Amino acid sequence: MTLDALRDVPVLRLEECSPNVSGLTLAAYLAPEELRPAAAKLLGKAYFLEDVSVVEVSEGFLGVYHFDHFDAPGRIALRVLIPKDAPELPTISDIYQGASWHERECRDFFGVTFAGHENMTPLLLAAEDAEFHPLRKGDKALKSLTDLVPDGEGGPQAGDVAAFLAAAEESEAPGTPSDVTGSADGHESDEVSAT
Amino acid sequence: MTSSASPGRFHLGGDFYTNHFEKGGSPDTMILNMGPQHPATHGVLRVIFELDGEYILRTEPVLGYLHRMHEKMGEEQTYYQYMPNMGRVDYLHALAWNWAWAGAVEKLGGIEVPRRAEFIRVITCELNRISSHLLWWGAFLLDLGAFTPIMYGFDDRERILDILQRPTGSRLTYSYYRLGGVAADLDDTAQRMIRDFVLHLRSRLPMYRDLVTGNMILRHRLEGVGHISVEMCRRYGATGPTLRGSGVAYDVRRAEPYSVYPELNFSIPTDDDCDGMARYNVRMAEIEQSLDIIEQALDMLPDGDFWVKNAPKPKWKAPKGEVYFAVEGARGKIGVHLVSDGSATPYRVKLRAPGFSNLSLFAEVTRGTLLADAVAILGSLDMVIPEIDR
Repeated sequence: MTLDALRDVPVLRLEECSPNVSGLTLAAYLAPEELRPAAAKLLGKAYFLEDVSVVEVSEGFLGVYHFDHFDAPGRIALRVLIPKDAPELPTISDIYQGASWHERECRDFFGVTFAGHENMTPLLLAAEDAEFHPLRKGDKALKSLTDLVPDGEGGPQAGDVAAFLAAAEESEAPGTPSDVTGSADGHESDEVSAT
Repeated sequence: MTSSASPGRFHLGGDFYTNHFEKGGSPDTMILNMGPQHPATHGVLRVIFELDGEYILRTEPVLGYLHRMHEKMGEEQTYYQYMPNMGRVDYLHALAWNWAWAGAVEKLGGIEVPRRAEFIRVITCELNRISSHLLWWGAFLLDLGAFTPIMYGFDDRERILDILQRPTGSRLTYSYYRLGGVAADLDDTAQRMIRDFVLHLRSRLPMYRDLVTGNMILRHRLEGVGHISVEMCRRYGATGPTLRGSGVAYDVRRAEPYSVYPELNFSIPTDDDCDGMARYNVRMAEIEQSLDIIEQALDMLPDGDFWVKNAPKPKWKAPKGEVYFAVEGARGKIGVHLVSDGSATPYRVKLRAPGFSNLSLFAEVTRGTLLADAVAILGSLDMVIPEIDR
């Protein structure tokens, strides 16, 4: 059940993991534009949303989405890497409404915005602090994605990440998230006037 | 509202959220704030309603009044040092959070836990679950206007706190589990106190039922109120009694078995009415299940160490990697997502709080209901605000 949950979704990299080692059964690296179709597919297969979070790495921001299933448990992680100078992910809050608060939290903590989100106002931090993102790391503390994966069995593999980074670089040319940023401006100006 | 309600009245300055919320409002409706210091919000939660008479058109919970940036603290402290934070995330079921953290780090580092410690964890965590449910029971009924039950609930809950104080040394914000075990053994006196308590609470539950469960006023306030479907739980990620009150037998203790739960015999109570009464019934049945679990675990409690001999030192470095570990808390699925770069402090800590996901569906459930029902619905979700805000 779990292993073919992402069939038909064009993933950059798909990993089968051992739940005993990593807590995941399946992890996929996706291009940002594939995130929404993948989420819709998982909802169609009755997966529920566990959480949405961001991990900051030297390559950019890694959006991490965890899903699980009520009847056939097995955690699926979707991961999307976006560049630091265009920190924007597509929202999935219209597919999984529970993502709405998680995405607002990610914006508070990391300054990653979500294109198409109907309400990007601060959730946990004060409106006055909207431009301060406490979970961002300084340059010294930043690690590369390849430094965060083990060489052992069962979890995400260093080789997979390297291959994914190469694939992401190849697709850099036209379809990168920097093209999508236009829609974020509406939200930003909205917030400023409200404050 | 009269025609004098021009768009200009929204430019009041000051409160960001009310202004933001009012911008979408109609001139014929009223904006009502509940909280952040309202007794029915169970802590500092603020909820803004847009009302047409007594009917709710829109709801927006406003979070952040208790936010303490636990995830940032997780990145500043060592794996060992971070444990006391867990008791402060959800002070009503602190041991489940203890367990989520210990379990995640143990999984990451491949740390063995002695069997005796696993059983002690089960016993203490289930006791803590009962104490959380008892407080929910009293406070929920207080929200609905009944005062007496909270006195009974607190009375029985105090006994649990007395028991847990022996091994843990504290009564509320426990920091008892350690990487590779628990901090202190469960001695014979504590075991005897627990057995006494199990018998005592079993004798009290029929009285709880007589006093409250069949009460006509309660049933009128809860039956058919706050309909939460399975499909809604899926879209919002709601878990725990909220989900099981929608008829889904999903419990992390069974779905992603951890510790010695697979060896224990217990069922997962469900109720498919999807309303406030269903969630009430599920929690009451869970108290009985927890009593059964505690009794079995006491019978099976093996001799041996309660803490692994070569346990990680305070400055222990975790291997690099990524791990997700979940446990079943009183409010639902508690998840810890850890990313380690191989140093003594985590690279990234993500805490999945069940209340966060459960509360996020509140706006959708309350749309179209009466304001008084919103209070009943909020109570039926069993909120602990520090856990939601983290």
